[in-house]
Amino acid sequence: MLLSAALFIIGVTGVMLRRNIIIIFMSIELILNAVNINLIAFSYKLQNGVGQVFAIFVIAVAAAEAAGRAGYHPRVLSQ
Amino acid sequence: MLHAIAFYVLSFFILGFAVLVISTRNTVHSVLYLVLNFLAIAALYVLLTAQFLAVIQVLVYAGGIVVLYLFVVMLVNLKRPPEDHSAPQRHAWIGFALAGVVLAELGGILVMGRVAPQPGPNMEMSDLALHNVERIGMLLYTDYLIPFELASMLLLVAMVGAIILAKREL
Repeated sequence: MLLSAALFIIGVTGVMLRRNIIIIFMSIELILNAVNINLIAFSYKLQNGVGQVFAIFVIAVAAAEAAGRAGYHPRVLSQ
Repeated sequence: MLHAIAFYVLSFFILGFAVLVISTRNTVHSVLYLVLNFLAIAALYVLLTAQFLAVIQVLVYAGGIVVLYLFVVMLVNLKRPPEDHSAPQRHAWIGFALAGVVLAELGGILVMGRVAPQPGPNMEMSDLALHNVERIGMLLYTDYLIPFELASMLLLVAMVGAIILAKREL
């Protein structure tokens, strides 16, 4: 849990501090990974598979976000 | 005990790589640190008996998302004047050192693999660890079927949206 919180804080710090938009997106990925670690840690602690199922959903949403950004990003930056 | 040591080592790597991701000047280096971060997280998933999630993590994050990041970074960097690259020979010794480490590791696996102890009957593993994929698949296709279908719809919409956004530029 502490690891997850620390990774989350690093991600939020990255969003706050850096001006480069790619770094900000990568910080968002770090935040999503922190959430996943938390889900799986509790899944391991409680021996319950539901946390892993939700982690799969988080990964799917992250993939969708990455796909949307890949279409959006070159257009904005090439203006 | 070994479990705890592995956990703290992996945590150290994850946090260190995360700090490097947001603190490096060069964006390409930042993306590469992100790959290492994701791989360390996948190792942590194996430690927490989520083998299926570890495989998904490597495939989707380290394989797919990071490639998209690299595409974006390279496309953006094309507009800048090319930097003068340092001589590749200067870093040759690092490559030799890493190759030596990999060779030593392979030799170690060959030697240790013969004398590895067989898992005894007292080696207890939980049901979630042993039947990981079965458990997740069962939950995913019974209790969480509707969220699963919604996730697939989300991916479809993201794909169509990305194509439309990119098409407008052409």
